[in-house]
Amino acid sequence: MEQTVLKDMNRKKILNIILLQFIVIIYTINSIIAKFATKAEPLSLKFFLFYAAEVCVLGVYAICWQQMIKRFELSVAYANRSMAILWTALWSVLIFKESLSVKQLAGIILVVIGTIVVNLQPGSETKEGEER
Amino acid sequence: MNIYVLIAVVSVTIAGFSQILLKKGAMRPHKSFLDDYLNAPVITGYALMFTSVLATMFAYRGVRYMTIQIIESLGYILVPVLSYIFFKERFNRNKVIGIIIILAGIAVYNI
Repeated sequence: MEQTVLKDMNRKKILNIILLQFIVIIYTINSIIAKFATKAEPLSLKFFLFYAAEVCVLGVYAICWQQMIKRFELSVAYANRSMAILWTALWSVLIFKESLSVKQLAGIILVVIGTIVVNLQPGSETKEGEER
Repeated sequence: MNIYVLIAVVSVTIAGFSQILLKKGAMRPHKSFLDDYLNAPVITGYALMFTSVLATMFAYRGVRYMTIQIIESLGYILVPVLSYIFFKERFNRNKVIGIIIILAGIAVYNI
């Protein structure tokens, strides 16, 4: 019985961490738009459309982030944001065909390991509306 | 100290406090979806975050991208410290070691 409860808690925690990473991914979409925006002629229609898109993405991110920090300790949720480095690097390789140096790759691996270590701590989640 | 570096440091500090206000707002009992956003801590939190984004954009004029990235990573120390002060979020072994590894990773990536 206790084991089942523990399993359920772990499953919920993993699901929340995946959701949190999706929100970090939304945040990194901004860097893709910003990169495209630099290619648009300044003050052209395209230029303004890219900036409007950036504001929209930031808005969606802000709304989702606010819902997510209900479920985590703030320090844990914030540490998860560092994974933006992985997602941004992924977009630069996949979309912009840029290459990564060994040093950059090593840095990304360290950030991923660090984030996993923070997430492995027990009791990093909070219940909705809980006063700590 | 370069004034732009100072602006970047102040900007990270503002961003850190904005997260505290957002969390404060998130800890209120849930009434409705709109109420989650239309309350003093959350509105102030987002206003501070917006100010910080503008300040960082300004700092980019006088500081290299890499320097800004390193300065911004101070947030990974500041936010847990503020969370400890305001919400009594404890520093345990995982959190401390994990954050140190994250900071090392950001340094290796940027330097």
